[in-house]
Amino acid sequence: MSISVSCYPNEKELVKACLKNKRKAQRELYEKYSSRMFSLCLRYAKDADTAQDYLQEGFITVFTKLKNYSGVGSFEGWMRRIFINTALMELRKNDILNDSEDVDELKTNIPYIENTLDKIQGKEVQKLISQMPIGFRTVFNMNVIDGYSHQEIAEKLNITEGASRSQLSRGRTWLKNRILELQK
Amino acid sequence: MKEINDIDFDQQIKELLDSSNEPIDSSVEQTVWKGIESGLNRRNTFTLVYKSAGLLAIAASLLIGIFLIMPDYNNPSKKYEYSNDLAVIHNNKPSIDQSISQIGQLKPSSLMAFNHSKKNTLVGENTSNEQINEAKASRKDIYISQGEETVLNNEQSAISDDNANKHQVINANKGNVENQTGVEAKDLEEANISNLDNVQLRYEDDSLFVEEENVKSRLINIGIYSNAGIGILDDPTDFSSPSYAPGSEHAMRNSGIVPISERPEHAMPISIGAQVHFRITDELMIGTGINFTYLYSKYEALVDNMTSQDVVRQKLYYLGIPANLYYNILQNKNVTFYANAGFMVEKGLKAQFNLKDLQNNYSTRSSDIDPLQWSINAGIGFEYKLFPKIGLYLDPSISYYFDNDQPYSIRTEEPLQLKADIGVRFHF
Repeated sequence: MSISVSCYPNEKELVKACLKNKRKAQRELYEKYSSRMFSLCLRYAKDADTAQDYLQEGFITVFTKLKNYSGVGSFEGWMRRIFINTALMELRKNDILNDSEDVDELKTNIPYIENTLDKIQGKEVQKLISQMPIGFRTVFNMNVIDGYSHQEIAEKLNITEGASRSQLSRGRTWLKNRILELQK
Repeated sequence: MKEINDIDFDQQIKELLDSSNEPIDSSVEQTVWKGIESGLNRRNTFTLVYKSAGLLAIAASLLIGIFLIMPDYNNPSKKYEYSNDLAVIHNNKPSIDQSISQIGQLKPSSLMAFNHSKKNTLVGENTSNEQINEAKASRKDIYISQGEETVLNNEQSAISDDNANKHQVINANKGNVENQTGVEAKDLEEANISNLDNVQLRYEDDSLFVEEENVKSRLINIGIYSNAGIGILDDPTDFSSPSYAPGSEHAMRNSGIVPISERPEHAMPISIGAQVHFRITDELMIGTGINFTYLYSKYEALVDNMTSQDVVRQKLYYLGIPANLYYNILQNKNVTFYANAGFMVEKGLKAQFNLKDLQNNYSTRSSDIDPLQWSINAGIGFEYKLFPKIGLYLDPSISYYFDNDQPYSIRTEEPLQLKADIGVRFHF
């Protein structure tokens, strides 16, 4: 087990050092957040390789845009926005968002009872989400996990708010179906 | 059994995901970090080049602007002033067909030389054809072009010194000179040919010039520099996070002294040096020499495997060899603007540390500095000639010090430095 000792008394000092392009500080910041940001990237990416690309691009953007961080609000929250934007940019670039699967066969109005989710682990949910159709997955991630409003999602994905709500609803239904299948 | 709504479902999914952050695989982490480093290095290089180019462009624009607003710069006759030690010969009414081979056939009375120094006058009113031919024969590089406009008229008086076979024009009609050429008589009177072996005739803008050639001359400058450690990439400079970590290779090379100061004091680097410039063309020169630099820092540090916290006064000594290319952008009689770029390799001579611990115990230690320090630089320069052979110069430039495992100093913390060399240049 390795113990990493920080050279910086707190995150503010670490960020200040990163602002000075101190490579050691940048490495420390990367090590501190790489796992959390990789999980985020995995939720938006179609596979682990793509998630690695998002992780790399995201951190480069974080270090080069660090001067824009005002210091107000959570630094991690600011970073998460950067990574989400990085993923969305790649999705838009590859026009993946307009290439959603047809999922009309989903069962709706599934009776979902308490404690159903007690039997499932986060890792399994993560895997299921990564298997979601891209449109569902993106909207579901943005709204449910990352807290974007439908208005914000509509602006970022260049869709209507109605489309965002619809994608979310269908994505949720898709996920419920898969969870139930998993538990059979 | 209670059915859960969508909001609760979403909340539970979010909680499950938040709790499932697994550590990233170390090999993936390492691979991604290499990609990040590579990307950052590319961006830093781009930023460095972009900002340096911008600064140089601004500085060059300013200098050119200053040069352009100097009086009479655009007046062709002003070229007269730019030539070192210039005299003027006037061909009263030369024909278009005359050439260098025919110079001896010109009437001596139609030629006048301006020079307030007797010994250096080239030709004059009473110069014979033989004398002109003799002068021509002694100078292989003489050439002449022709024109029709009169520069001076016969009302100007010329006095010859036949005994010395040299001629001098004095008491020139200044009004006529000024009206006809736009060159102030004062300048003519100051013209001086100091060395007839390096003289050539030149016809330009309807005037015939005698110029002392400056080609193939050698310049030697001895400069005293002061380098201001102004970081360019980092803004503002913050030394609170030294790049030296406990136990790192850097720290080991720093005699086990690990800086921890939030406010270290890095004195302005001081350099002295001497350079020799060799002219390649009229505009291009190469320069090399020797340069001695002294760096002083004062900071708090953990010493000897962090067993002691000391105040460190550090002195570093470097001996370097610069190599630069100089290009003259603009030049006149007294002022020269030029651009330069090159590199310098420096050998650290010694690192000295004076330590004071928390109990006020003093100790000293020193170490060698093994790796060479490489740096690149680019800048512009301005030289003002105080005398024909001596000029004062100012060379502002940007230097970038590479990470060559050097001891902690202002260079390791701010590798991009703006400096200004101020010195005296002797022309030989």
